[in-house]
Amino acid sequence: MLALLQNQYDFQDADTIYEVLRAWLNTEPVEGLRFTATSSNAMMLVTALIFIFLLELLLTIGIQVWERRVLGRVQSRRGPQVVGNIGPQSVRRVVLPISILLLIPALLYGLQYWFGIKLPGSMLSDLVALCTFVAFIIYVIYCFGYYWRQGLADALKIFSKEDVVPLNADRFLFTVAPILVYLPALLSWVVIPFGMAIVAGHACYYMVQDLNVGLLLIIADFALFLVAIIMSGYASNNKYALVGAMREAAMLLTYEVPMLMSLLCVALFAGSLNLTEIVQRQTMTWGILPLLPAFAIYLVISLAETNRPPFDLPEAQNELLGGYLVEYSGLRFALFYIAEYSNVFIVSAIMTVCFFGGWKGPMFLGPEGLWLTSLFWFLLKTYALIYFFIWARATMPRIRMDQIMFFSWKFLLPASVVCLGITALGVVYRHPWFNANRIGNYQAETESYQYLILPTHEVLEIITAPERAFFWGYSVVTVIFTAFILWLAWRVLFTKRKHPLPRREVTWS
Amino acid sequence: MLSPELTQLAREAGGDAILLDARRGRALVAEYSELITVLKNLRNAGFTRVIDFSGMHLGKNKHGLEEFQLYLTLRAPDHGHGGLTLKWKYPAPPVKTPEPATGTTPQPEDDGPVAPEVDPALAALGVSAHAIGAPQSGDGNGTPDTITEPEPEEVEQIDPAMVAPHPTLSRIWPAAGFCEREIWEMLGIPFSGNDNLKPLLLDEQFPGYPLRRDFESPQRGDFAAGLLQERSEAAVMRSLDYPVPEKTQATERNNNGEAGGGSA
Amino acid sequence: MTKLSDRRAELRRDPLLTEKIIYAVGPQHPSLPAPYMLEVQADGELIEHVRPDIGYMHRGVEQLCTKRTWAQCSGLLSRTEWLAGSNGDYLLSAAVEEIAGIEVPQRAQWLRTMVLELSRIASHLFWWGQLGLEAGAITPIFWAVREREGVIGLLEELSGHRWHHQWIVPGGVRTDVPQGFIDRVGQVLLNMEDRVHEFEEFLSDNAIWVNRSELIGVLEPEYALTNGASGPVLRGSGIVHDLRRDAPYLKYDELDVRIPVGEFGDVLDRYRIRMMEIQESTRLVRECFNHLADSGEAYRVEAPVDVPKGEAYVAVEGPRGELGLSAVSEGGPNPARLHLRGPSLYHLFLLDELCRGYLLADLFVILGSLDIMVGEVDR
Repeated sequence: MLALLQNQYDFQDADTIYEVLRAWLNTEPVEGLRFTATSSNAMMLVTALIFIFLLELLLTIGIQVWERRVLGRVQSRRGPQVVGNIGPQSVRRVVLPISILLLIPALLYGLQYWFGIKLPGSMLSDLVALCTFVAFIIYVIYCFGYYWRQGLADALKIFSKEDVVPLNADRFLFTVAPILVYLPALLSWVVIPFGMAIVAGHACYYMVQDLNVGLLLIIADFALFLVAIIMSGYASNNKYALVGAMREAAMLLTYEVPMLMSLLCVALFAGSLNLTEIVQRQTMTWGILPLLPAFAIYLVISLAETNRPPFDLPEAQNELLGGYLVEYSGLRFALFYIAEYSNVFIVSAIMTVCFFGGWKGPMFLGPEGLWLTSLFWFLLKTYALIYFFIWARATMPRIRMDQIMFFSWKFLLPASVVCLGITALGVVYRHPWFNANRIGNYQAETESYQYLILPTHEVLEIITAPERAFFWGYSVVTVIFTAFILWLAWRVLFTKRKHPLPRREVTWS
Repeated sequence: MLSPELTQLAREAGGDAILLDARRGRALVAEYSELITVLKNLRNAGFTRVIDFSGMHLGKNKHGLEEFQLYLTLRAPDHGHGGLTLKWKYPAPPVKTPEPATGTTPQPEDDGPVAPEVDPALAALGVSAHAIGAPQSGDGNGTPDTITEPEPEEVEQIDPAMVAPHPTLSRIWPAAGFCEREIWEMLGIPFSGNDNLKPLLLDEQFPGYPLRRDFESPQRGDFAAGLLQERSEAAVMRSLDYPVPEKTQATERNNNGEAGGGSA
Repeated sequence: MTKLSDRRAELRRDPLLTEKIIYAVGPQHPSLPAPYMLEVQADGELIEHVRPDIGYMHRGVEQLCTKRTWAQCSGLLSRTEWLAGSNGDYLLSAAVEEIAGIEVPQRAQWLRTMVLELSRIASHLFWWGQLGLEAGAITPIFWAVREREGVIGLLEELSGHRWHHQWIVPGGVRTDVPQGFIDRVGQVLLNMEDRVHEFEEFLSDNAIWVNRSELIGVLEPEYALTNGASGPVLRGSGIVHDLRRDAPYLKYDELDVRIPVGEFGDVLDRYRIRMMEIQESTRLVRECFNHLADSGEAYRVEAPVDVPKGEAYVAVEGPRGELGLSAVSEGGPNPARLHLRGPSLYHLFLLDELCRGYLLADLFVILGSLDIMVGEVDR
């Protein structure tokens, strides 16, 4: 069982789809179509941009519609698209066929894996290929029917709006600011590993570029976001916009530092800033186990960095009428809007990559279905986190600006520093979780460290006593804390507490 | 219902000038010049909450002045928040200077509700004191006017410019200041001493006083026809029809009366 | 236009040339339920001075009332206090009954009490939703309006109107309660109480909300007393005053009204007072049922069209405070003067003192806690 979960698909020489595409283009796919180096680079660039742009657009509009539906559900009303491919009919038309289509090969594969009942020849792999393909088509059609009407209507409406630039506004900056807000959001999609596939016997990731400093790119992306916000607030020639932009800038700045700290914990854990390597390191234990406090901190920070409620004071409609966005309309506003949802997806993706094992999970369709199962797990985890964002929006009032600042400087920053300290201790003390079960064992013969990937119980045997003490101490604290969180959740969700609980001295008289 | 303590309190505060109505604690103020003193006494006696201050246009009185009835509702927190409503008329009936030679008691013009004494004959007929203020037709017994109407007496026509503005109540109760703004813009009664006498609900260029009985709403097209004039800034800050004179007898008396403490 | 020399003199004095920002909040603003303007002078975000500018919703109600008969005025008056629609009707009826000396049957008085308390519940529910919106939570308004639908549905069953009932008339009430109405009221109130518990969980226990509202907008009791505050605003500061107890009208002298009184006078106190008032009103409505059975059959007596000469000032404890009507009749079918005393007018002008020293984001929370109804501010 563990073997299945361990996901033996850890290829060290995996490529990205981008590279596979380039390699394929260089093999002269069409007769006479030969690329030079520059033209193939240009072709790749255009392809990549189109790919990211379309993917981002689809997924962010999907988030938007989903958010509105969820908000409607919380608010006891229906959201948009009451008629269409959402609701009970989708279960009949989409979920059931896809589940059946995927269940059959999954069962057969499970039979083969555990009980050794093999199908003759390559029937299983063909079946898996067929089923996954058809399931994918159904899913695409469903998604296409899910939100394309609403999304298309929104897009058409936005495109057809009048281009309004306020009087005495800095025209150049006014135009550039939304682009500068959108660009980092777009570019961050380059490094996110959506999944893995085996193409022609060769493993490759769903990524555009497997940067060695992928995590750093994401952090830099948020810094660029900050500059663009200030630019947009200044360029509007509106004192409310400027005040909103200043608030926004202050908030983003203060939340950069704890974010950096918590992501540094992840880097310590994985030993690299490369996102695919971070995912690979989570074979034995997911990042959440050692890095729970870092995850908690990063979760809150991601709400703040993307201006999601409860941290949306700078851009809220009620407060100063929208803050730095107040003068933007039409396509410029759409760029801000898409950038915000894109950022939401990116931070959720980063959270799944760093803490939840990325695209890892039981690959129930075998190597032939790897492309679907890895994508499925990745999107499942990402959307679960996005649901948390939507949930936070539905339920929480806004935090005031000075309280936001207080929270960051006085709580999150010390907490993240402490967290970094604990992670560093864990790494040094060879805690198996902190090292992604990759324990260095000093070999006296060769006077070098040999890194072995061992399960936890084996690690316990080879580490020294103080390290073992740290292990047990950390584990006990984690278990108690997790139990406390679960108890709190149970109490909030499932118990009906009597009110009023007079917190103040409001007395009857 | 006004409690006995409150009744006694109000009576002490206002002196003989306040008559309490048994049902609801409504009272009349006879001497307009004593108004501020009475109100201050009321405030000091415990009526620290002003609930409402409003006015009504009665029409042109026989002196040719526009007459208004003002209502003030107070509550006393220390005494169970019982309510007291006072009413008086503006402008004050002109007070005749007493003639020392004749020795008769000076009677003010019975322009409004005057002395609270009830003629026993009228009381026997069931006329209550607070109804005295209303203009009586005939002898109050149902006899029509044509038979026993008295001869019209010679009443002097007073120049509106000589009428003193109403003293402000905002020094006594701050909340009354906003009510005064509304009374000013709706009825045109000027309040002296209120620094913030700007229109509350209407815009500054609104012509006329809407709650007067002879008010005609501006019609569509009036502005284009030039019938709506912009008010000058000076006129906006003061009343148009009652230019505030520098000093009148009434203001002098009020100022001397307020010698003890000008502001609340 | 300042001259160049003036500007140079200014610069010499203060080279940084700092100015205070003047924000104009309104008259159109997502946070304001109805149009009015607040001119906020702030040092950055620290509020120094708030000047309300009202009159955007002035419809000349008082002037129009003089042109209509007494019964017709109830339509106008209930539209000044639209969230608790029956208060305006009751004020008018009470004024006419007092001037004309009409004795209203007992059943009508109990029914009126019940309807006024139901209106209070409806108004407070909407206030809760609006407050959540001001604080930034987008869910409460939907829940509040949904619960309010239950109460309004009851009132619609009774009177035919959802908001402006015109069911309380001089002389009594227009119709008797339908069959089974009492049971339906009980059912609606039961459901609503469960949901109000959920509401409390949503906002009252929320650390974010408590941080936003604790010790914000503190109102000193003396200032509240001398500046015309009433209702929950006054009670939040610790003054024990409720017209239902201190100057009872309708059947409140027979009902034991418990009133919540705060301690600090901040937003949280006023919030808690209104939540407790919802509970109390529910209890009072249930008590009215007990008395309805043995209060007779008559629910209306004839009231004259021509009201005799007289004056009256009647006041109720509305959801926002002391809602009063000063009525003057000079005989005849039309009122000579109707003046509505709206508590929100006085509360709005308390803002200057309430907001001084707080941040701009607190202004909206304080506004929500004051529960301003612009209809009775502007009339």
